[in-house]
Amino acid sequence: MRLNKPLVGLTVASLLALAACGGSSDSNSSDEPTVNVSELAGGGQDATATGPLTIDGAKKGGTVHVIGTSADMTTTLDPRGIYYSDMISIAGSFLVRSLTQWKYDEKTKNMVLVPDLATDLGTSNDDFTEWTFKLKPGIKYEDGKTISSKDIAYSVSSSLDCNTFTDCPSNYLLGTLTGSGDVKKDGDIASGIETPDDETIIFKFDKPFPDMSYYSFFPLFSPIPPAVGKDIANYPSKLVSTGPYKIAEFTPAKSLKLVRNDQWDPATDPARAALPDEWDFDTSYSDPKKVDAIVLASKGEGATTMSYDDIDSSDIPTFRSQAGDRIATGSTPLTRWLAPDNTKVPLEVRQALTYAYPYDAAAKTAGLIKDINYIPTTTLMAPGVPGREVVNGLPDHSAAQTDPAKAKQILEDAGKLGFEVSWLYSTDDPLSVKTMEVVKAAYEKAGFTAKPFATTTTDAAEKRASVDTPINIRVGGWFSDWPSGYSWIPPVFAPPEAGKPCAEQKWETFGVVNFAHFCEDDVNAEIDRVKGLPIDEQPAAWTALEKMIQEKYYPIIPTSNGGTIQGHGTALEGVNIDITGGLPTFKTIWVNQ
Amino acid sequence: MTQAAPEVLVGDREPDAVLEQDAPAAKKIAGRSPTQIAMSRLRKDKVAVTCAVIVLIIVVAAIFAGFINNALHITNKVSGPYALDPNTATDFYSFPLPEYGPPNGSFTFAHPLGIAPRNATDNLATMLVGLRNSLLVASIATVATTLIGLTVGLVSGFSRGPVDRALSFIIDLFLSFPFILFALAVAPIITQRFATDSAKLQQAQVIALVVVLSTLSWMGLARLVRGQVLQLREREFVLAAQVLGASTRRILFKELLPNLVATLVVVLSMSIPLFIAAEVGLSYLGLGLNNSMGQLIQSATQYYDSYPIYLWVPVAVLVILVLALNLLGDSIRDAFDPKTRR
Repeated sequence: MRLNKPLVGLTVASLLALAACGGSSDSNSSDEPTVNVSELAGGGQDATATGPLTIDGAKKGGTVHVIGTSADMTTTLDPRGIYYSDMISIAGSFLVRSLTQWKYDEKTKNMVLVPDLATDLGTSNDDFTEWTFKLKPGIKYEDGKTISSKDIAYSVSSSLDCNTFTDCPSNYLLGTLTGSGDVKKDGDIASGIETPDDETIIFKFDKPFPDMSYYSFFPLFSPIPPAVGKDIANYPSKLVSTGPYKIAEFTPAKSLKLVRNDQWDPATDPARAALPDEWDFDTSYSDPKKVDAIVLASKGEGATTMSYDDIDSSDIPTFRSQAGDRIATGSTPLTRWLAPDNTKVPLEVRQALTYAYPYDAAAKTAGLIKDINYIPTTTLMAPGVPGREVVNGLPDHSAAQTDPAKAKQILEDAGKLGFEVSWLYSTDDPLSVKTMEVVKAAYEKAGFTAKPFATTTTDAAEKRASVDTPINIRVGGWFSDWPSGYSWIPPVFAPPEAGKPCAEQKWETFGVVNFAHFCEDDVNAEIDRVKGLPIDEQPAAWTALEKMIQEKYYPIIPTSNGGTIQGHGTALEGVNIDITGGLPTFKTIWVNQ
Repeated sequence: MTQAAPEVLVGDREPDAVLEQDAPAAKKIAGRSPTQIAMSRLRKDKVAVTCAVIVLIIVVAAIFAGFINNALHITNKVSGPYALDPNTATDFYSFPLPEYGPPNGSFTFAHPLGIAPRNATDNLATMLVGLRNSLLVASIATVATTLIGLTVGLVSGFSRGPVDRALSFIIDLFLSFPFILFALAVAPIITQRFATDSAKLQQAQVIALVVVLSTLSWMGLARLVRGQVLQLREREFVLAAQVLGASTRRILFKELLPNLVATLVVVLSMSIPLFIAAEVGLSYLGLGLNNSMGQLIQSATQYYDSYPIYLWVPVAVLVILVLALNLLGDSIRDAFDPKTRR
C-alpha cells in the first residue's frame, strides 16, 4: 500500500537518511503520548462476525468535518485503482463494500478482519490456488439494484489494466491469478475468475496465494456495475455506492460530501457503525498549521472537525498541554531500513554502519518524534503482523543505538577504515539537506568516507529505484498492504526475477523494494516453501524466515517503524487509529451532540 | 523624503558653474565634480547616513561571519568543535532545552539568538553565514549585471543601424525569459551534474545563481543606458570630439561614460536589495543556496507561534537590510540628480 499522500511518500523516500531506526522506547517519560507497540501484537481474523455493529452509548446523527491539506485525497477514488492509504480508508469505510473488511476492536485497539460482502473470509483448497467466496444475499447498490458476483469479477478484471490504473493495486494478481494476462479490453473477464451464480465468486491462481482473505479487503474486490464502470474517466464521481453513504458532491483533491445511502442494510455489515448522518471532507487548506489551529480551537463547527494529517511537530506540545484527550496516536505498518548494497558493502561494514548511523539525531532533524512517528526497531515486520517477534540480526546492538567508537573498531578490525559510503539526498528539500549533514557527520566520526549523492525531490524516488545510481546505501521504506509476512518478506528480500537462481538474476531493477541487492538461493527456496504452508503455520514461519535471513546474512538494517498522531474536535468520539493504514477508524466515529 | 536645508546655490551648479565668471568674489568658487557634490549632499542627509551605518554594520558582520562564530564558539554546522548534539540539546519534541535559550529558557550569552529546533545549530551563526552568502551573491550579480547592461547599452546606443537593432532584439529576447522558470530549470541540472561532489556542488550553486540572476536582469539597465546614450551622442561635446578625430573608444569611455555615472550609481544601489530579495526568495523555494537566509526563514516559518524569535529575528534583519539599502539608494538617486534642490 502506498502512504496516504504521494508527497509524504516521496519525502519519506528521499529522507530515508532521516528515517531513523528504532529501539527501546523506555528512554522517554511515561506521560508523553507515545505509541505503545506492545499493544499492537495480533491483527486477528473473525470469520463469524455479523452485523449490525453497535457501540455502547454512541449516538446517531450529526455531521463530521474532515479537513486536511492539499496533499490529501489527491489520488483516484475509483475502487479499481485505489492504492493510497487515505483513499482506501475513505472508500472502504463509506462507499465501497469489499469481500472482506477491517473492523476496529475496542478491546485490543487492533483491527480484525471480518467478512463484508462475503459470508466468511473465503475458503481455499489445500494449496491456496483456488479461493471461493459466497456473497450475502440481497445486498443492494445505492440505486436499489441487487449486486452480483459478476460485477466483482468485472471490477477485478478491469483493475488488471495497470496502464489505466497506474498505481496498480492489482499487482499481486498479475502473473499469479490464472489468465491475468488475457484481459485485453475493459469488460473482459480473466479466465481465473469464475461466477457459477450471482452469489458465488471463485478465484483460481497459478501459484499459491495464501493471503487472499486479507487482500480481498482492497476496494478492487467490490462490485461495480459494468454499464457505469466502463466510463473509466468519470467513474470516481459517478461511483455507485454499496456502503452506508453515497457521494453528494465530489471535487477530486478538494472536497467530498457524503450523505446516507438508504439502501445499505446495517444488519449485513459487521464492520461499519455509520453513526453520523453526513461526512464533509475539505482538503483545500494550504497550511498544516491552520488545520491544527482549527482542530485545537474546536469552536463551533470545529468541535466536529478532525484531520487525518499528522499534527505538525511544532504544534504537538501545544496540543498535548491543551487537548491531550483529543489526540489519537497509533503505529502505521511502515518500516524504514538502511539497505546497503550487499554486492558492494561487505558484512562487517554493514555491522559498522549499524553502530555508526545517527538514528535519533537524524530522526529529530527530519522532524520525526520518537515513539510517535519514529518508533525505533530492529525488526522488519511492523507491529500488528500476526506472529511477529522482535528480530535482531546484530544482537549486541540495541535499537537506535549509535556508537561511533564501536563502529570504528569494527571497521579497523576488518581493515575497512575509510570505506566510502554514498547515499541520496535532495538539494531542494531543506530537511533532506540538514539530515544529510547529520548523517554525514556521524559516518565520518565512525571512520567512513562519506560521499552524499545529490539529487532533487522529483528525481529521488527514481534514483533510488535505479540500479545504476552510483550509491551504496539506500533508505528503504515499506508500507505493508496487509499484516502478514507475505506482504513483508518477499517484497524486501526476493530478487526481481522470481523463480530464477541468484546467479542468473539480471538486476535491472530492485524488484519491489529489495534495495539491498540481496539474493540467496536458500532464502528464495524458503520463501516459496512458506507461501505454500497451511495458513495457521505461516505467521511463525515468516518470523522464523526473517530471523534466519537477518541472523545469517544481515542484509538490511531496520531502523524504525512509522506512527501517526492526529487531532480531533471535542464533540467527536471513537477516534482511534486504524493501524492497517495509519488513518482514523472512520467506520466507528460518532458525534456526541 | 524630508527636505534638507537648501545648499549653497553654487554647489548645485555642476561643472558648468565653474565656467560662469559672474559669481560674487566673496564666495570663493571651488570646482567640484558631480560626485563630490553628491557626496556632500549625502553626508548631510540623516536618513542616508543612518542607513549607510546600518548597512555597514550588517556587511561587516556578514564578511566576518566565520571569525565572529569562532569567537563566540557557535556554529551553523552539525559537526565540529562547537556543534551541539541534537539528542542532548533538544527535548522530546525537538525544541531547544531551557539552558540553550528561547523558547523554553531565557536569554543566554552562549547562544544569543538561541539554537534551532531539531538539529540544534546556533541561530546567530546560521544567520551570519546566511547573510554572507546572500550578500555575496547579490554583490557579484550586481557587478555582473552592471557590466553587461552598461556594455550592451553603450554599444547599442552609440552604434546606429544593424548593430543597434540586433542588440535591441537581444534585449527584448532576454526580457521574454521567465526568470522563475529559468531558475527552476537550472537547479536540478546543476544538482545532477555535480551530484557526487558536495563541495563542488556548493560552488556550482553559487555560480549558477549569480549567472541566473545576472543574465536575466541586465536588460533594464541596458535599455536605460541606450536611451541616455542616444540623447548624449547628439550633444555638442560628443560632436566636437568626433570632429577632432577622437576614437570611438575614447568617445565611449571618456566622453559618454562619465555622464552615465549618476545613472549607474543609482541602478547599482537599487539592484543590490532586489538581488538580495531574489536570492532569499529562490532559496526559500529550495532553488538557491543551502546556507542562505531564505532557507533559515523557510525552516523557521512553521515555528512562528511556538518559537517566534527563531523566525522573526532573521526576517527583521532581512527587512532592515533591504529597507536600509533601498532608502540609501533613494538618497543616492536624489543626491546625484541635478534637478533636485534639497
